[in-house]
Amino acid sequence: MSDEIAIVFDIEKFAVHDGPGIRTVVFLKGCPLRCLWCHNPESQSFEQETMAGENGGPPEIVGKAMTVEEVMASVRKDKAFYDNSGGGLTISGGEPLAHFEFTRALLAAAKTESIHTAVETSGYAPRERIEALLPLVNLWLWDVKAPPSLHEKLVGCPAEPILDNLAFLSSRGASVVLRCPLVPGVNDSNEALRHIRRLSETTPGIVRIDIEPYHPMGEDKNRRLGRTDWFHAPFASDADKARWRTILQEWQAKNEQ
Amino acid sequence: MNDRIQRLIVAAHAGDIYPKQVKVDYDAFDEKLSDPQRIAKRLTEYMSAQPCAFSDDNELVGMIRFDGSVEGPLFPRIGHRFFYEAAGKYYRHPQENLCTFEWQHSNADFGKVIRIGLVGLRAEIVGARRQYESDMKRLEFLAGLESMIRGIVNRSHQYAAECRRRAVDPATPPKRRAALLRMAANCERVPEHPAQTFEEAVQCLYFCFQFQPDSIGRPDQYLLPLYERGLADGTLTRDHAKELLQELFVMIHGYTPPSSGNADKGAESHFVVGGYTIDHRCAWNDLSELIVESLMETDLVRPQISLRWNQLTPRSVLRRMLDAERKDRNKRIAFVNDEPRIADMTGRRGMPWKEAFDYIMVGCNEPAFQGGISLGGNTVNIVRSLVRTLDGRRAEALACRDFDSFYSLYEQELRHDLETILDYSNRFNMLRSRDCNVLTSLLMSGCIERAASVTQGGATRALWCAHFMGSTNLIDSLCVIRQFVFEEKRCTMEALLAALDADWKGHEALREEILRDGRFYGNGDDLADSVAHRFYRSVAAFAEGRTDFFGHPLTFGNLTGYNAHFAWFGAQTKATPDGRVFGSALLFGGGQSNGKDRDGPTSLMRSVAHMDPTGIMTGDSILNLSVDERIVTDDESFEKLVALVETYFREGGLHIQLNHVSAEELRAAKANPDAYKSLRVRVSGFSAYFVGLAESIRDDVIARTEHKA
Repeated sequence: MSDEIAIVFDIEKFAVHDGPGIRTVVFLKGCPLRCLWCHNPESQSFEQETMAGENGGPPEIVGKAMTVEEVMASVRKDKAFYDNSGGGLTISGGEPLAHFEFTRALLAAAKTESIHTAVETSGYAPRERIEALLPLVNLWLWDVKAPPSLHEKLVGCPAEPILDNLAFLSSRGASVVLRCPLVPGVNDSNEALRHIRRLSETTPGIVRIDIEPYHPMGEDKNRRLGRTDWFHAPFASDADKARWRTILQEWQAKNEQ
Repeated sequence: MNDRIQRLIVAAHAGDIYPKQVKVDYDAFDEKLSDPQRIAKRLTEYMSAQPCAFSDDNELVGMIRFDGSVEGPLFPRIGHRFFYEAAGKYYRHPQENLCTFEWQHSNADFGKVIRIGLVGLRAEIVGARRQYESDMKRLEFLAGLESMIRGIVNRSHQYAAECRRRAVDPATPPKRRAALLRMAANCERVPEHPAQTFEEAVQCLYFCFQFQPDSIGRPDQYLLPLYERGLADGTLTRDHAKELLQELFVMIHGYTPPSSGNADKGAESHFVVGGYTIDHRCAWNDLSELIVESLMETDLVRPQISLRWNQLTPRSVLRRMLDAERKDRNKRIAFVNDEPRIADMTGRRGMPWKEAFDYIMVGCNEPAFQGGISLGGNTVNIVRSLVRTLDGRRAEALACRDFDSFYSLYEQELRHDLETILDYSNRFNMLRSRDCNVLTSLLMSGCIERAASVTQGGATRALWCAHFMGSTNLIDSLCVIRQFVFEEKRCTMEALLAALDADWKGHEALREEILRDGRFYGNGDDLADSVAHRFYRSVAAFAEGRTDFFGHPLTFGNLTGYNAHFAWFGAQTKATPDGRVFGSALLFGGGQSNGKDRDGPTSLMRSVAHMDPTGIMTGDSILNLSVDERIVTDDESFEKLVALVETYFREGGLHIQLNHVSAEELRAAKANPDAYKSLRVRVSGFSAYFVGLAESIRDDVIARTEHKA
């Protein structure tokens, strides 16, 4: 097995929101993007960090260097649960494609053991990496974070390479779920929603859209990481959610029939 | 649900259906009779003196309460003097901080009475009499049973007469008159004769429940033939069947009066649906569905149901029951797995399939048989064996150079404690066996054939079980000794014992290290799982070839019952190597509840499913799982929960019950009980109102909820 190592900041068992069935999500630490609303700020740096304890508890060290085999030892424990629920492994982050060798080795190990694989990514990575992972990934969880006009400003990188990569994936017959973090008043304008809908209508292979309403969980983590300045937005209102649903879920409902 | 049933539910909650008791002066000269004959005679006199009370909303009749003046129903041993003498000494009074006893649940073979009637039982008595021609004691017992049959038939005929009297009352509306005449005919037929219709069968069950007011066993099996026949020949509709079942459930709920300390608890009556048929098919049927549907429509806390799952149970059935569970405010549903339990019965315990397939669940979560008794309720402080090793045999413990030699030492203390527990249990059961019961014995399997009271070993279908409090503390403590003292050599045995002697004071760093780095049970960790295997193998080795004094093989479990045994034992038990401090409650059940399970529910469930390679723990074992409430409210996540539970069962898990309230809500309820009077939670195989629980139990529920999936 590969001797690749990555800093893992969490392994979540019985994850129910990151792909089909019962899944284990492996969170890799380190991300090239800086989304304004990031709810896992401890996932951004590629280094181990110390975070102040919750409710005055002892400080917490975030991130642990792990080999592919160490991660697999944890992942394979739940094989029976994956097999009985149509679940498997999801690699998330951070940005898994920024840990390319590790991600490739972990996916290959999972494939060898007949474990279903998903990768959650912003899609911001060189084309070759995506191409190399294609045969190892059953499902792509593809973030759509902002419309092209706002992308650079809100996320810290241009939208075009990401959209090109999505088109490439689609042309190669990949299955894709669009994952849309929606932050009220920030990236949820009607224009932004129509962008998502257009993408899903014009890109073959998109199997569903997941709406991820913003929650301010990341704010406390920013504080615990010693940061002094962070983004704040309110919880989404029922009216916001209704508007999102009207534009996005109609497509979803139609597509699922 | 129709208005009639709704009115009956209101009456049940108000305590209005609870029958009044009329005191009886018994014939003083009956003292000359043998025990069984005198008891049967007095029961007959008592029953016939009670009013035939029922409301204009009842279509089923027969409720009666015994007052303790004579030996009444086996559960809860009303009028059993010797039992109460024993209970006064031992119930809620742990002996040597090692063991005590809880109740013993049981189930009358209602299906048999429905099938063959009391006339059929009388024929069995005649047959038994031929076998015991020269045994006066047994003949007297059989005569008592026969006399009891006359008393019961007399009572049902009293009801028939009362129905006819009300029917001819000119004030009775014609529709009610027709119902009363039907009720009278039912009471003239059952329980004396075999039931011919579904309605007669449910009337028979309702009436006979009074003589053993506990589990109703497997109604979806024994009521099925008459249900199907009624639907086929057009004499029964599904709606009418539902109404009858709901009226039965109202009575079962109302049998425990609101004034009882157990009025809010579900375990007073617990039965099963699903499971296997005798010919190895999945036993879930249309009537199972109707029974669940009928119960879920009623706002009652009893009876509670376990789904018997097995590898033939379709996922749709498991989903249906989990769906009922997530919507049931009264938390009446739990889940058990046939496979490990039946495998242990037919394997280790040498029981034939034709008996094992038909097991039921009673009480909190005790396996039993129809017409059988659970000789459980021996509640045990299993941590004591380790404390005795570390304190009583300290020099030897300090001399151990490896974990194997330490474990051998420990095993000697374990065997000593298990011997002591069995001895206490035999003493409890001996004391309890001095009473004679002729009422329930009539309906128990084996009492006629053996011509012996159920209290005196008459029941052939009995299961013996003791429950471990603190098995998780024990396994974790053994893990810590193995990991920290012998394998990683992070601390010496001297240092660990010094910390325990000081209740960790001055040794906080060691305790923190243990809590942080300990390889605890419930994480799918090989070290912890192998320690668990070793422990349960030791228990199984002890049990091999041993029986209780009635001759039943030994099984073990881990539930606590209604009482906070785990807290009582913990209060007297010093600090333990798993980081537990002096006086704090032990853990009960097969899981963790204090955050030592750090690897999510799948790892916990796999550890629990695989903890016991021997089957010895297929007694009264439970797993409480707390899940985030969003997992049950979101349909897509809920589907994953169904797969989670199914996989746990496929992996060999024995039992599971769910809680899905938030810890915040529980804390709020603890702080402000008045605002949360209706909040129900699953506790130890049963459900109860959270605010009415003992503080130690409330804290346990909160702790395990805080560490939920």
